Amino acid sequence: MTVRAIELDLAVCAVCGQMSREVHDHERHACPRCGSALHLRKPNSIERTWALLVASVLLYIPANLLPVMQTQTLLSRAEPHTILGGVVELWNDGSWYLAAIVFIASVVVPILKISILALLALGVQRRWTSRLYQRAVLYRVVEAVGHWSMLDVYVIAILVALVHFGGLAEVLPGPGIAAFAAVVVMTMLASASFDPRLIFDAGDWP
Amino acid sequence: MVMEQRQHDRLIVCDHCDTVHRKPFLERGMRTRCTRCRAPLERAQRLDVRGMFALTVAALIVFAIANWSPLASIDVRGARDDSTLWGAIVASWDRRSFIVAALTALTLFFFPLLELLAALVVLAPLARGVRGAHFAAGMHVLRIARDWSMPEVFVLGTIVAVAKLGDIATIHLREGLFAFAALTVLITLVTSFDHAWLWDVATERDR
Repeated sequence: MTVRAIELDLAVCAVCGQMSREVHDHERHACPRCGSALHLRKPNSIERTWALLVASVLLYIPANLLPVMQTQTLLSRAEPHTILGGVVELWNDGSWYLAAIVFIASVVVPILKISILALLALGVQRRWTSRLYQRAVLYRVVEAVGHWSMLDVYVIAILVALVHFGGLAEVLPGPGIAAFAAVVVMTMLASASFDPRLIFDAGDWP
Repeated sequence: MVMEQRQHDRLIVCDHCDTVHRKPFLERGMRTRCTRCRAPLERAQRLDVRGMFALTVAALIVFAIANWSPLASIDVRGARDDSTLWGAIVASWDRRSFIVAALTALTLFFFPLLELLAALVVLAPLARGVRGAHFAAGMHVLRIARDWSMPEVFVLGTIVAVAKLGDIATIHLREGLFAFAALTVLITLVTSFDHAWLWDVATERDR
């Protein structure tokens, strides 16, 4: 027999873990211990998650189509590089493990995060009652891998700083990396907006 | 009211699925998981408050080294050039990539620094057995900064960048990168504590 806090009318402070009684989401309540706003569930969780997911999907298109950087030498014209192009170059250089790391961080992780969060938000809206545990695990996966997509942003910052061979060669950041960085931030905010307790709110409690 | 509060002190609620549990007694270093969704529920600290305070001081020293030492050097035709974290931030900014520069500065400098300073504000008074005047503010900062500080990703990013340049120039990994690797471990140890536990410790001191 398990009991949920919401059935006992208990709100748990998201900041300090303090429990409070008789909290109603339509009124303002402050945690008696730390003063943070108390809610039974994260406010407007599903709406915020969807809004940030839509923004992420839209930004993900220019992030992949536009060059994330350009290399330029005295002898050659500026050469644009996209995210996937960078992965292919690493692979062709024989650094297949680094190619795999960059592919996972820049392509697999963002797509996985967006699809999983969309699935979870849809599940809450449709009040799916099955596979509660599996969906909770999916959310924890998103939380755990989320920030690794920042990898490409750092790679470019370092390349730009290191390569300026007395004007002989230069690496310039491209517009794609700004869009990509925005995707990373949006998906992190989307996963922070989603409230995993909503998954279980629709379920039949054993 | 007081009676009810004491009763609540013996309960713990899973953040992920809202299931209510009775708080078990935990030995040092032990952890529990939610019986319903298996999410981590509670962890008994391996270190006490004073140990965590010492680690925070160590992390701040390593943070200073990581930020002011070169991360990597590049040799081209006998000339050597190197870059620090701030070199990378300024170079991106100068080439009009403001989002890259801002995110790099925020996630590798400002948030980790805020995180460590907040840990200091919280832990220094607790180590002397009192709850500091800015305890609540420090805990709020810690909670937000934790999600946005990413030295571990940066260590991997630098390695990937160096590998990309390996064909066209000779690259040496420098002390700044090793300091970032050490900082990753220290920040993880300092900030992985159970926040609810620290609130409980502070509340206990007040009684």
